[in-house]
Amino acid sequence: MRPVNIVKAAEGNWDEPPKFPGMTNAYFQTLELARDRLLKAFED
Amino acid sequence: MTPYRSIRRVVAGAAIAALSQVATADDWSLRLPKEDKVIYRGLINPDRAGLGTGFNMMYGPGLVGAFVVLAGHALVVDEQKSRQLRKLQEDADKVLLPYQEMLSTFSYPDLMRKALDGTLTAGGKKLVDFSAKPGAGWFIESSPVFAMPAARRLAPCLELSLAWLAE
Repeated sequence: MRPVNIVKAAEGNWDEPPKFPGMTNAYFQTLELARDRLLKAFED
Repeated sequence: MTPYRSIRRVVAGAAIAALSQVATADDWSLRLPKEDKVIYRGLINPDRAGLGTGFNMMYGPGLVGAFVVLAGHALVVDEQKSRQLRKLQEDADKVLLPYQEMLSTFSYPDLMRKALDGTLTAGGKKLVDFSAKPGAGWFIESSPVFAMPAARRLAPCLELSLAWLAE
């Protein structure tokens, strides 16, 4: 188990239901960023 | 084989090729949190709280200055400070009141399904229940929490803890 902690600001239309694009995008970006960090950690 | 070694094996087995190639070979299982509704909270301004070190400081685009988050580990501080922090958190959470009805419609399955669909992983991608156990491929636990600055013109920021496990 490899923990990763990330803080990212939501951008754009965060308060627009039902899709909440800003918050969804922030979560998507953190998933990608976490994966990059994890793979980089194993490269080093 | 320990999970840590197992992850290393998966990554090394791909010869640290281009990231997209590694991702293509893997299936993702993204575990849903225990809670159904997305969690929000207010951000505490440390300048106003008069706090010392040992707290999560948050910086980044969209944030003016730095803010502090009352995280679980903050509860290890003395009882007096804990009470102070709980009060500060309750006050900070008031910024959410105008948005509560709207935000209550947003669930973790909605958030995570849309985000998962957008990831670059070309392999299988699925949401699994909180009770699911790790299987083949990448098993990802995440605890997304959105924190709202006191200045409502600013967008909330996402504090995300992730744990990855590969079999």
